[in-house]
Amino acid sequence: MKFRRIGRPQWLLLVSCAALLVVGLACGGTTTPEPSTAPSQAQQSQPAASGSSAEAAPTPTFTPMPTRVLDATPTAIPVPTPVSIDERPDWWQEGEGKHYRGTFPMVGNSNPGFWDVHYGGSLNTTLMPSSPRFNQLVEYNPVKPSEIIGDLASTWEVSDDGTEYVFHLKDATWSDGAPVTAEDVVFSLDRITLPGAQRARTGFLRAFYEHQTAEVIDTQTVRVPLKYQAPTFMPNLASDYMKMYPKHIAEDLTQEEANQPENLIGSGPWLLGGWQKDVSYTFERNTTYFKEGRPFFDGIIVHLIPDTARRIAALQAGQVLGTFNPFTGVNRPEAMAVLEEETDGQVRALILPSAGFEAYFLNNAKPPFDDERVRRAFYLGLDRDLGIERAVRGFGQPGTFFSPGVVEDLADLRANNPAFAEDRTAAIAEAKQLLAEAGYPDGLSVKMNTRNAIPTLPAAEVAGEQLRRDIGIDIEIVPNDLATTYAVMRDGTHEISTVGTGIILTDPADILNQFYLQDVLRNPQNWQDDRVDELIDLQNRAIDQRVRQGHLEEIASILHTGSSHLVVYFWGGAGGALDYRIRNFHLPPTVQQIHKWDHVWFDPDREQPTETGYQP
Amino acid sequence: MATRDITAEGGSQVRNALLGIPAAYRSTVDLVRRKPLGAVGGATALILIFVAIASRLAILPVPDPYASVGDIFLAPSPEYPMGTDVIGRDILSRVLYGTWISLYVGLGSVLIGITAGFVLGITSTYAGGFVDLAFQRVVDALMSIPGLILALSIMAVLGSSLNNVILAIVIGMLAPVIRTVRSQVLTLKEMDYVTAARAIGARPQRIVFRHIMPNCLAIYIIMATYYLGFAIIIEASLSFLGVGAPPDEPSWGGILTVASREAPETGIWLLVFPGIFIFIAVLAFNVLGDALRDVLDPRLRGR
Amino acid sequence: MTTYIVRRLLLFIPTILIVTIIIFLLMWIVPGDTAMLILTGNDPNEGGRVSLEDVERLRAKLGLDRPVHIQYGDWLWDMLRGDLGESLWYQTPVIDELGGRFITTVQLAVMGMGLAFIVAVPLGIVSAVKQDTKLDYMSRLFALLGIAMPTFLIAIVVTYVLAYVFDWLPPLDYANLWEQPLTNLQQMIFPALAIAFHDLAFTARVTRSSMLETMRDDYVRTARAKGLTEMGVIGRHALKNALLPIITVSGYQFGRLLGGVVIVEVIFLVPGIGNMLIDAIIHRDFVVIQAVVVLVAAVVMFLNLVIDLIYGVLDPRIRYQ
Repeated sequence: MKFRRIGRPQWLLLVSCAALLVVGLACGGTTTPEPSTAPSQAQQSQPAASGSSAEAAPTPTFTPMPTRVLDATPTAIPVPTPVSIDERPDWWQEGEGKHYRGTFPMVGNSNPGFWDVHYGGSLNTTLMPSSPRFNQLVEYNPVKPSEIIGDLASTWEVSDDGTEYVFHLKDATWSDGAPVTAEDVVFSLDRITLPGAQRARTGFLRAFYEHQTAEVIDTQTVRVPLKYQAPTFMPNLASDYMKMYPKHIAEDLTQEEANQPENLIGSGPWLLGGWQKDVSYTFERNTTYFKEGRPFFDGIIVHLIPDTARRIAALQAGQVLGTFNPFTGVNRPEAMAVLEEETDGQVRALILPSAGFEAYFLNNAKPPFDDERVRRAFYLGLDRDLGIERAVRGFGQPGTFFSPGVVEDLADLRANNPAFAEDRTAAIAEAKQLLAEAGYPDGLSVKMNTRNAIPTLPAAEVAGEQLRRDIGIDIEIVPNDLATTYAVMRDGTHEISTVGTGIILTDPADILNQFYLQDVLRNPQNWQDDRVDELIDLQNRAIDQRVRQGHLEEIASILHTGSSHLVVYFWGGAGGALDYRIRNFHLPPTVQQIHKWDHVWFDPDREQPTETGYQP
Repeated sequence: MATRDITAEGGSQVRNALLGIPAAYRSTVDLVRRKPLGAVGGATALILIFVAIASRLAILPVPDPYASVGDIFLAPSPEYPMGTDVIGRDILSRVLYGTWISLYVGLGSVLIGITAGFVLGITSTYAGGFVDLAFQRVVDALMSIPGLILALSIMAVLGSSLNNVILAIVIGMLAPVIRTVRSQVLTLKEMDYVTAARAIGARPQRIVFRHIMPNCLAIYIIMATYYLGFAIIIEASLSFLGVGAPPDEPSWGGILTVASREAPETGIWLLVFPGIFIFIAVLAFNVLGDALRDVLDPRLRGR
Repeated sequence: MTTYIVRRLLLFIPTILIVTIIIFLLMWIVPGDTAMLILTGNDPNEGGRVSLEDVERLRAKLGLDRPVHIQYGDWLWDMLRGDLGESLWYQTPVIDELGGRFITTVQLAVMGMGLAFIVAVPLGIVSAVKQDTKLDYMSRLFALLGIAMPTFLIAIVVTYVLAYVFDWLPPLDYANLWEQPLTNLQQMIFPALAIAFHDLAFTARVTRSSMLETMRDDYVRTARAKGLTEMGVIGRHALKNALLPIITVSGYQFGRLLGGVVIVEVIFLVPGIGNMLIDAIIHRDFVVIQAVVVLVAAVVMFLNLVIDLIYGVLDPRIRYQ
């Protein structure tokens, strides 16, 4: 060796390791990790809350099983029940008593996009950040979502033929102090139905309400005529997208200005505090909110954490006390259940069992799926129970075409439809025979345009593996992001596509509008059946609920021949998580409802419930 | 240099081959003695190649990596030594088969990418003038575009498949390879023996094939080993961003991505096995590359 | 020298043009556009009726239905006048956001490279001086650990260890370095460590080979012959000269990091360029993508020029034509 005279340069190694360690410790290890003062104090006091220190509270064991998922499916159409302004239920009093001083930390998963709820069309980017700032005319009762109660309206009357509504308004003010008047309501209804304007989610109202036909009767009363007697008018009007805007502000805004966070104001419980992209948005309490005493927090900060593992870590470590608003498809029910278990019930899982479905769009304009027999073979061959068990770990229900329990009877399907039977042999045999008849006796291979999201991707893997094994349909999965998935669907080059889809209302009309009309995005190759078209029209106008149900059942029976472009795999849940001390949140029927966040409160003294799952 | 030319022209193919064996043996022994770390890396690489071929030929005693064999997310047990995955496939057989997929992606992209880089680099340098100037601007441009943008858009355009992953990796590595080759060729062009060859009237083709290419071979081999590890990592990163190989293909990156997604619910053990395989493979190729460089790089040979 | 700089600066123009053309073409052939995403939403559980007519109308409004060369021409003209345009998705001027994000990413890259430097240079020196000994092998293996793992794995493991072993996570709500330096440091140190860990191998390797090379040079031999201590030889002569290529290579590496720390930024919630890019790609927000890419490309090229010039100043053997 030439360099014999060198000392011992090992110290260099030591120094470098030490340097890494020192820097790491200096910046991380020593600081105290409290997100905000009040909630963390409360958190520490949790075990001692019972008072008796000697007797350790029995640690409840949690076994979050899919079977205990709350069934929140209400009747198809909620019952409108007028509520007068003087009515203050008991919980209102209790919430006021527990008013939270401080900014409450919660977590969200994606940046806001458009701040005009009439324009934008997305739960995470529009509804979650914007809904808390505005009110609707009527709303789903946040503590009993199967009811529709007044929001800005106190009471309303319906004409005998059901084609005219008269709403009476409460005394409410916009956040700039101006009163909410009938003028504003008329303006907002017309803004929602403005011809030619983009109204991603509110545009449905055009089906019932003719632009510029509502009239002001006096400052507190407004008359709204309908095109026809429509049982789904009120459920649509109560949706969180149907927000009322102040005429004196909104009429001067261009669409671009309205989409910005700072321009629009509302009458809602919350004012926007601030927004930093990729970081957080904050709300401040509207102190002049017309529902006196609400909301029950001074402020809320919503930290944006797109990465699932990091989001769960933040919930687990108590950096945030719940998911804001609180359901989204990216919070997987099974993950939330595990979270509850791992935090010993500190964080409670909220699971909405049938928030949306996984479905396969078969290209009915191109071989092989232009052949009805091949579509039916696919419909029969799909093992829905296996999909639920593997792709969503049991948190799902077999793929009915309408929301579970609303039109189809699952027990009846299980008994009489081979595709849903527990014993798969009949379905597989029939599927194979259909494929053989269609000219594919040895099976066939197709590409599947798959959105790379959860649970769409694992579901596609399960389905692909099972179909290859059972009926010889060899599926090559091609994962794409959302934009590509839809583009490929629309341009017609796909063979099968799959993208998870949700519903805004449990009402069957929502499904029919999304999938079975012509020239809609989710019927890209315009699958069409004369009888279905006829029935869609009939059920829209049916006044008698039983008659409408009959039409819907006939549509379902046509769809269950498996001839349409759409095969529903399973209904899956959306998840959320709330600290058990957050009170009064009640499961809504869909993820898109009850987003104002003006009815829940934080009770630091609450004893941990022994039952699993979130308890209101 | 002269000696080598004479042997190449005068000797028969057979004699060359025969002479090659002891030489290769001797240099292997030499490598093991002088570069034990590199030798370990080389041995590991050989084992990985063996595993890859064996799993490709399906002669390993493991279940079909594409078929589900049991319940989902079973923890490691004697029956399933690495547990089962998101749809109940045996992770051990997937990870083993993943060796084939990863080496296919790695070797495929390295061979195509570096060869193409060499051809383009040498051609452009020799073409000189405006062509070279313009071509270097394209290389500059490619180098200054964030690699993520290129990879994501290529995958979005072409759709997700193993071969497209290779293409995305190739385009990502092309510009730096061309840059390195170019600087090497520029140095070689000024070397005395090249100048001499030019002076005695050798045609440019002859200079390239006789003098430039053989001397670039060392660089080629070194870059190939480094980029092999790099390609395996990039494949994993593409999978993580959701644009890698299709999810049913058992690539290491794909297995690791699913594991990272499911780990919060299922357990951190999911990350261990695919992680270790990636780790070992990349480490092995890098160590091998380091040793080869010490041995082959003329500037470092020195003693 | 001046002519060299002018020539290099002039060459920027075609290069940037090529960058913009490549990006524009790529974005043109990438399927999907912002209009459809605005209408369909981004969550797996989205619903609502979306008609194809709505999609076409919105595309027209966003100007996405124009021929690609017109779009490119308009965009280029705007950019030449200093207008980077408005985000298609957020409808806010891109320029408002770009500066702050860029600084954040630069901070992350500087911290990452700094940490890598602190560890890698000593490691590299040790393995060069003790070439082919156990010490050499150990330090080289250590340096390679980070490169043998995908960054997302490093990031996930770090988060996991922090949360489950130390029961601590970096504070949420990104804090500005100037306003809350301590919080900022807590948030940035772990992504920086992840980057450093990954970059270690590269810097250590360059240090090692550069040291090996210089230690064979004549002046080092002379120094040793003069009877200087080994520490003196290494520190004063070899290292000083070996540092030059290390710094150069690190400079190029720094440019690469600016556009390449996406995964680390996403997992560690750093609101930098990478997060902005990934968001823009998901939303097919071509305007934002273009702006970010042009900025990164320009900075990288400028950086490379500066490095070349510094190299020239420090190494008298190099002359610019």
